[in-house]
Amino acid sequence: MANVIFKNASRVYTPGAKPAVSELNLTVNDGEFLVLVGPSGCGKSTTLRMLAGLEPVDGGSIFIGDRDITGVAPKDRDIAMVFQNYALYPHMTVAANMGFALQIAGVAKDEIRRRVQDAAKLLDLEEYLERKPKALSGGQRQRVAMGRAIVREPQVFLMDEPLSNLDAKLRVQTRTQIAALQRRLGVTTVYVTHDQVEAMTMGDRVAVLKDGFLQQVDTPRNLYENPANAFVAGFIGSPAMNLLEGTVTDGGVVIGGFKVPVEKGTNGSKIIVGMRPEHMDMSSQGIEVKVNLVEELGSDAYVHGTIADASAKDITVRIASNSGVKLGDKIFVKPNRVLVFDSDAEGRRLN
Amino acid sequence: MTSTTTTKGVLSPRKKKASLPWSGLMFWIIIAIWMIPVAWLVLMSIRPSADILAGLEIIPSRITFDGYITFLSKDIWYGAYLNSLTYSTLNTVMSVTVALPAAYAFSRFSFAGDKHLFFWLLTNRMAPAAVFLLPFFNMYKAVGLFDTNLGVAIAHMLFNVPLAVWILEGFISGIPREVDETAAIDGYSLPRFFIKIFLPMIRSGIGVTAFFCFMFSWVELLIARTITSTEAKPISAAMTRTVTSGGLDWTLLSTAGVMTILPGILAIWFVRKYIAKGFALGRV
Repeated sequence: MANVIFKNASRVYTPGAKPAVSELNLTVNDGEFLVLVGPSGCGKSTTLRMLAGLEPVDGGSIFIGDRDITGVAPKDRDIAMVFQNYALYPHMTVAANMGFALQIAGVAKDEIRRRVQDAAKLLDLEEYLERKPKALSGGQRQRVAMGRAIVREPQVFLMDEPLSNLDAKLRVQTRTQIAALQRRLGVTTVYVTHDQVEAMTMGDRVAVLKDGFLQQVDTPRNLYENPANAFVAGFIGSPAMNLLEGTVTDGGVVIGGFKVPVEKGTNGSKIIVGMRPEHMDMSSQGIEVKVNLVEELGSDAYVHGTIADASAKDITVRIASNSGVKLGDKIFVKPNRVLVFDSDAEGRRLN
Repeated sequence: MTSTTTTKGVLSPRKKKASLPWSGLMFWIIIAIWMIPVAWLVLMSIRPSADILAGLEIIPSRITFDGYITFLSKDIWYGAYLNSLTYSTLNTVMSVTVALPAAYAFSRFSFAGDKHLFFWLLTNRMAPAAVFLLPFFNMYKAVGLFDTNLGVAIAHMLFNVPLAVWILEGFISGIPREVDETAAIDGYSLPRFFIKIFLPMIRSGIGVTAFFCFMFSWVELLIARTITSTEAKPISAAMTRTVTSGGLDWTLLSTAGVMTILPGILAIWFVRKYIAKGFALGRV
């Protein structure tokens, strides 16, 4: 078991161009499940591949435990990786696939058999050990890929979108299984996904990346409650937070004929007001919204509408399911929690 | 579409195509038409030369195995046959061995001029073989490769290596790069990974490639004949030199023809499964 430390780690694909990963500083604690999340092209996979040694580190260094592994070959890093397409060896049985890495490491035959058996038991794969990957379902293949990582008993698990090839139902199931398994094994895990729901439900902590820069690392709860900037605020949470630009006048921003009070920002300055759909209540007065669509979920409902002012921006509001609001209605909503961000590209949090 | 038809369609995709009631009969008719020249050749090989020249005769009235006996006992015939087998096999092994790493590099790495080089390989096949006759003849005379099976095998690599690289590259690119990376993390060196994991994964591609190399080398006449004289004379060359003072020996010539078709039939038989797979997967 070990922690993982990125120290100013950078990756530049073409010299002079924008780095894919820029001066990343990140510590993954011992036994922690850390999720790297961000839109495609944000550098999350590159970060993982740098840690695996499949991608060179162009600046800074990476440590596993006390060991600087920056220039070390992948096989000497004591890691195991699970890929999105599983990368199973199709001509070998499940057992051979799982035991192969140990064989090359010179582990005794009995020991290999024992470890493969243990992993198979853990993953419910015992009856499939003699099958070839071809004869397995997507979920089973995914478990074989996990098993292959587990039998190696590495210091760090690396997972690159391992659930993306599964169908929606299986993905939710496997999500909980992997998270539970990781807690049980207690192996430090770095997990890459583009799905923020996966990130929020699985990770002890979540690191949000954008354009090669680390935006924020925190527990799922804190990312949701206290996003550091407008990007994180918009990325975390489903449906996404409403981010509306406006000008501060007398301690508030007028949106849809309603002055949303903000305590930050000088008069006349431009800011971004962030309001989560679930942090707004229907009321007799407030932001006027024209309803375009009501998404009934049973427990509650989401109203997708446009703000009834010159901006005509889209807004999403969560309401009670039995409210009787329908298409074409006009409703008024009042935010009960407002976040304020800088309106520049960085979008820093102000309150 | 109802659910039953969908399930049926999944179970047997062939069923989706409309099948004609007499398609089975048509198949056999077409095969029969195609087989006429081959069958004719086989029949000729077991009839005496005199009968062949006498006139049209569907069922042979006299049967003789003289052709085969001569073919298998006369050094000039079976020797030439063995020569062709030797250099074709040698060429296949060498072409595939050389093409495998090349195809892997083209598939997995990017290097200066890789795309141009890849296309340039094909241009080697654009010139007629006759263009290369003189250089080969001259070079081989100088280095002592003239009239050797190895020489013919090397000369044929000029055509077969580009072909092999193209076919194999298609198959290799069909294997996800993550497999290579998993092996790297597992601790495999590149050569060991290549032999223990990669080759078994692309074995159908190798089968298809080997088949094509063998067949191209087997049927090639011009170069093989020019750079050999007696020691490494190919079977196809032997066949063109059967006009003797006694005239053509039709039976013997037909026998040689039948024998020449045999390796092709055998090769097809062994790789027929892979060929179909190759059409689906790679670049055949």
